[in-house]
Amino acid sequence: MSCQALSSLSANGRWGGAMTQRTLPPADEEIAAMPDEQRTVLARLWWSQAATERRVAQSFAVVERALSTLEADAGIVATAGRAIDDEHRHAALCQAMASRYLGAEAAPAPELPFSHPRHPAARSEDVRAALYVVGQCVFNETFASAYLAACLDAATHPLARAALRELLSDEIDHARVGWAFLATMPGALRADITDWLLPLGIANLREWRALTLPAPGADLERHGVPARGRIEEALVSALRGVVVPGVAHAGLRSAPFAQWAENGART
Amino acid sequence: MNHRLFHTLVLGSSVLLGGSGGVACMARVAEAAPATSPPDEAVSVDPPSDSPPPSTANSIDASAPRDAAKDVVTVDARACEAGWPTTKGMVCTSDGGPELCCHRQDEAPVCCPRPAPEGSP
Ligand SMILES: [Fe+2]
Ligand SMILES: [Fe+2]
Repeated sequence: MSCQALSSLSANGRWGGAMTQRTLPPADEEIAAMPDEQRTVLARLWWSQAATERRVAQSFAVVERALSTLEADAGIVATAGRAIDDEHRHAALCQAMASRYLGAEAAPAPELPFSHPRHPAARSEDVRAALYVVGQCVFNETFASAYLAACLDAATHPLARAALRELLSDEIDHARVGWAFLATMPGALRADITDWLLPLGIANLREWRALTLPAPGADLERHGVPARGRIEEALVSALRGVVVPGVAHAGLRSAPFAQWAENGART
Repeated sequence: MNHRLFHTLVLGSSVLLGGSGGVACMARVAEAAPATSPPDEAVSVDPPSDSPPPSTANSIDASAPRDAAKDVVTVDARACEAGWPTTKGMVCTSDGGPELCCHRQDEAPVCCPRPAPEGSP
């Protein structure tokens, strides 16, 4: 793990090179009045998220290549390409939030090693490419959207709400890459992807459940850190209420997948 | 089934098709208290009542064994792969308080069967 300066943002990015659509509200006086321990916890959370957001830029480089290989719709490919810059903006935003809570410039977040699923059991390169899109966008970004929506629901502090809103609106677009792809996916891939839904669901939900957060408290909730139970509820609810009906809407019907979700989504 | 994100993500995904990807993001965030938000930020993602999301009932095969998923979790190697890296802080709680966790790149998922020692039956 190494620490390096964050990448500069592209002028061709979503907001013309700006980190956010709207300027973050000032809240420094209120933050300065918070107990040191609480500020430190929040600074570390945002700093840690800066590291993971930055890593996910690499995930979208993989997804963009996969979509190009599959000759997906130009709008889908372009949105996936823009997501690379989006994730760098998210890293910069999280880094800025860490500094705000720290009350000083935080050191650059670490560059985490990157790896992604390789799906050695995929029947062809096209199936593997489609699995990359479905795993990262249909599953991972839908879970990310549900997670951030739960954080936003919990947050009452204007700074936290502003930052979470910026992140969520982009993650929604990233999930849409997957859903738009599913809706337009070549027929030859549908049977394979349907058969993979359950293992993809298990593997990706497990990643989200693997994380732990500080013990919940009203003070942290105000700053967008919901109780663990709320996060689990949001993830499972998104699985049952978005992913399962979403894949059915796209014509992919997997009874084991739907049953797994309904029966507790064990991972 | 009326998950607030269903329409936003699944049905809303059609806005991406055919474009250059350069359109402004129209995704809106469901607000807990819309009355306090400016109108351009307060669009609910709840689906309209005249367009319910599809039922999942058709996707459930009554003849499938109820514990099929359990088998996949424990024996299907595809489910033992790590998932895609997540986009949130990996903060773990230790005696010293919250810390940035190590990444999980080489961590064996708990569901994977451990290889038996050589020579064992
Ligand atoms: Fe992100
Ligand atoms: Fe994302």
